[in-house]
Amino acid sequence: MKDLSVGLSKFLSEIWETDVSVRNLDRASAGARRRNLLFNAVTEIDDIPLVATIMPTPDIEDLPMDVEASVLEFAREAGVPAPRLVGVTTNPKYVGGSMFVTHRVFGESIPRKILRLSESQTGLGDRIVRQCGEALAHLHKFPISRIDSRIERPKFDDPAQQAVDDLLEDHSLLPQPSPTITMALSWLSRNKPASPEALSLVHGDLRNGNIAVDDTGLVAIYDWEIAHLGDPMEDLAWLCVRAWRFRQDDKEVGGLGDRDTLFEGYHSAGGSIDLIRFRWWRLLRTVWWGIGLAKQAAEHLDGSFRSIIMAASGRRVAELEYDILMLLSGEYSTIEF
Amino acid sequence: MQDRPTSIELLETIAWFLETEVLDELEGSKRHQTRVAINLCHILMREFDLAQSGDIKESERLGNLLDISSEEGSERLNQILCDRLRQSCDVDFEKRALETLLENVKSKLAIVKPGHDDYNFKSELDR
Repeated sequence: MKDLSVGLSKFLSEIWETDVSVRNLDRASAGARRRNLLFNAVTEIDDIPLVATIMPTPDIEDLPMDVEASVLEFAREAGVPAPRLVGVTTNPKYVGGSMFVTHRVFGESIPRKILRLSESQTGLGDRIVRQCGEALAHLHKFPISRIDSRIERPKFDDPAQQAVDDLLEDHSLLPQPSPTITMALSWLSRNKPASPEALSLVHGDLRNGNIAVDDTGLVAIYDWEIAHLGDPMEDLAWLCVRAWRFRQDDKEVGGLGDRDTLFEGYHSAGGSIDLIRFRWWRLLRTVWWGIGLAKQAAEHLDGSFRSIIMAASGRRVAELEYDILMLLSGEYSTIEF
Repeated sequence: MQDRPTSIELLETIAWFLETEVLDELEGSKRHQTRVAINLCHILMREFDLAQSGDIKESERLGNLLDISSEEGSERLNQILCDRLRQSCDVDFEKRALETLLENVKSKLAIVKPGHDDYNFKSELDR
């Protein structure tokens, strides 16, 4: 940690052109590959709480850190509460990998604690859901003309086809193919919706787990590492996938509120909903997460990323298979309830 | 034959040890990982009880759906089902497959996440 502290002070001293020291350096709950460090940057006149997000080794699946930093700035400009950027570097000389530093946001970000907080205050869950809808509408309608060209754009500007192609490939590489996922991908492929009128920047991973809230509502949207150009309905659908409800299944949006509230927020900020595309993306992203969990287990088993969490993910695939089959049954209308 | 504790009793002991002796000593991600380890022990305990009969029934259901002997085993039958689903788009077959797969998934859930299938999506399917 001492080396990291030295590296962080050196980086901030260079970009701020003043002496900066680091205090209270601490690890935050880490993602699988990246590390988040909390610290205070102290200058002669200030003591500023910050967060450093460090990628020890480049990950081919995610955006390079400097591109992700540009996404944060794009989102803030669009009126989305993304963390405010302090600086970014791809030079590993400071902390051993690329990194960006943002201002720290104070709020609750652990999903179950968010649910407890929302239950303790009447109307808070609905407010958070509505604000998520508003934030997404701001993001989706912001023109993408000035966006970094390295951000993934779907082939032929057809996000649905690109998403199906990616999943077919990922599924084919798994050691144990799932008939449920095979059937869902076949259905998705045959029932692909029309492309949206215009592509938007899609966060890609907005859910209960990548937001911070306090008793006033939504304060930040984190983790922009898989942001891409695509169909805005993808973000709304992913936010409603059952895996992020934490047993509050009757509240479709992250266990916090219902879909109508989300859609109202989205409409009120100028977004428009296409239910057919929403439903298609809801199934697609449920499949995506099922494959994602199976990939995690495969990485543990082949030794490329040993982790008990990744191993356990393999036994969570059945949850997603159930959810996929139930969503498909709605499309086939075969199951009598 | 091994002496007691049996495998299932040992798993229960590992889960008990982690829960009562280890968990309180930990915080943050290590605590979370240990909770996951405890849950995996509970999954394996249920698997000892249920897996054999579940696998036999899974093969029987797949055999019936595909009109193939269930003695092929569920791994092979699942593979054959994947191939068939990829090759054709026979909606009637898919509807029957869906019901079979739902039964098979429910058997897996009884081991890995009992209660996950209590929720039936009814309120959100039609819109």
